[in-house]
Amino acid sequence: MLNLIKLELKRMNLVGVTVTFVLINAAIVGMLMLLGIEPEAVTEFLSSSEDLRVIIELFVIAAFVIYASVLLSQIIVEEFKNKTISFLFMYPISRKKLLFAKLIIVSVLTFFFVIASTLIVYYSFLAFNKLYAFTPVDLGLALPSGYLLHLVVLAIACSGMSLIPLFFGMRKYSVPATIVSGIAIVALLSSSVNTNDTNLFSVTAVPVFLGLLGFLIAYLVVGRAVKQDF
Amino acid sequence: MIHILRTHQLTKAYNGEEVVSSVDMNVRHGEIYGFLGPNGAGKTTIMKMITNLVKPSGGEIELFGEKVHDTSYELLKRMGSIIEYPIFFEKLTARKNLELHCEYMGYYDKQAIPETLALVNLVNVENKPVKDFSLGMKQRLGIARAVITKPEILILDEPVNGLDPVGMHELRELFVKLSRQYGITLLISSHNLSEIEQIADTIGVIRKGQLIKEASMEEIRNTHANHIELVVKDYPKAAFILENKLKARKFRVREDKSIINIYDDISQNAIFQSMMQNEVEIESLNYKKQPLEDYFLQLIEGEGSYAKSN
Repeated sequence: MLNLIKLELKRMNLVGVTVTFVLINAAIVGMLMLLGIEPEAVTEFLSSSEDLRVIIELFVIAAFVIYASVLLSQIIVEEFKNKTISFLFMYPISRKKLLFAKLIIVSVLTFFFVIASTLIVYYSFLAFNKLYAFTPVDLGLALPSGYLLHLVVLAIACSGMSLIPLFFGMRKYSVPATIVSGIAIVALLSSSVNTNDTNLFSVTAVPVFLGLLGFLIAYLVVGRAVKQDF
Repeated sequence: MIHILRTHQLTKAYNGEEVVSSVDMNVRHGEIYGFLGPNGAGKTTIMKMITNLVKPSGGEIELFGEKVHDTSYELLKRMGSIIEYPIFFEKLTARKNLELHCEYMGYYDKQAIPETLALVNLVNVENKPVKDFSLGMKQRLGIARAVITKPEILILDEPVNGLDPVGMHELRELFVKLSRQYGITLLISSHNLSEIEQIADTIGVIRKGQLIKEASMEEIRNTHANHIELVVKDYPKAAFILENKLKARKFRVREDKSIINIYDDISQNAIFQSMMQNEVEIESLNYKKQPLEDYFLQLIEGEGSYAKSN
């Protein structure tokens, strides 16, 4: 399995993935700084380090769930579409293993991206805050105890959630459908559901449920592909 | 092991409609097996079943003397193939494609890559991305990829499609070389007889999902060689004369049409004189040359008494 993942990674453009990761982080930090310029937004979003973390999580999850759908379409949907998958299926390797290797790559990358990006963006913003003083509140360097655990749970949920677009993308092997459904999931989750500005993300059960749903979908997609004729 | 590949009552149905029905194929070790049939006859489906891309609805496949299951991955390692058109990772270079192929196949001989590229006459392009290749180059690279792991059997689906005559000729020579020098068994499909007639040892003809003929090329050539066709009223008498007076051994009487086909080396003149002497009335006496092409066309189209009378 490890070998298969290695081979799969060899075919991916890892430099591109790294550059994208850096750019997404830069973009989120940039957006936060834009918020920092507007005093009204500062009082609303940046009044405490807790507030800051919530908004960072929102941006990070949105960005990387969507990016996961891009990765999915690159390494799975497109392979089915242009039939390179049928060539892989002629190899003396079980179809299940081949596909799981791909799913693991997307899930694991999403997991690490979410954790790394949350921390990178948080500390980058703190650093910039020292320079430009966007918010009068002292944000403090230390993370509250238990936050990392929360982050890990969230990242696991995201790594599952990132696989939901497969369900839409694999119906007609459509790249747009994959990415659009990724965006739709994010839009749905981050929209406010009531007046006190909570969204579906803030109820931990929701991302966890969606995460499980994502893993289930991936399992079903693989199961179908294993039986299919090419 | 005489047969390297056999199918037994191999069947594939899509939505209840059989596209391959009860095919019994026998590919012998070391031979070139020409798999002939019009487009849509089921050639590709059969080849896909052999390469584990399509699961048979019925019947079984035997490879290297072993029955093939869903998980017979070890058998796949001993096979090389091109199905439909060669598919590559287009953005990667030719060399990278071959390297990946070897790793997926579990074959680690780095020297094999330049050797194989030279074998198919693809030199100085190994570092070009495959998307810049012409169709002919892709076909060659596909064959390179199929043979690089030194398989025992090659499954080639229309491998010379889209090549110019020179390219076709080169590839045909390569196939013969692979077969005779390297002892690889080749199963080559084609919808065009002339492509494989010269190199095949055995021909299997498939029509509407059924294998309607499987015979060695030699056998086919012998029975469909040039011959003399004699049409007479009294065919028993004519046959008697042929056998006893002219000492003909290879002739066939088709009673339905009073036609006698004579494959012996006897001149038309001699036949004419003998018949005259024995008062057999000749309706026609012709030198017949039936190209194999016509014979296969008849087979494939499924018409004509000629095919049936055999």
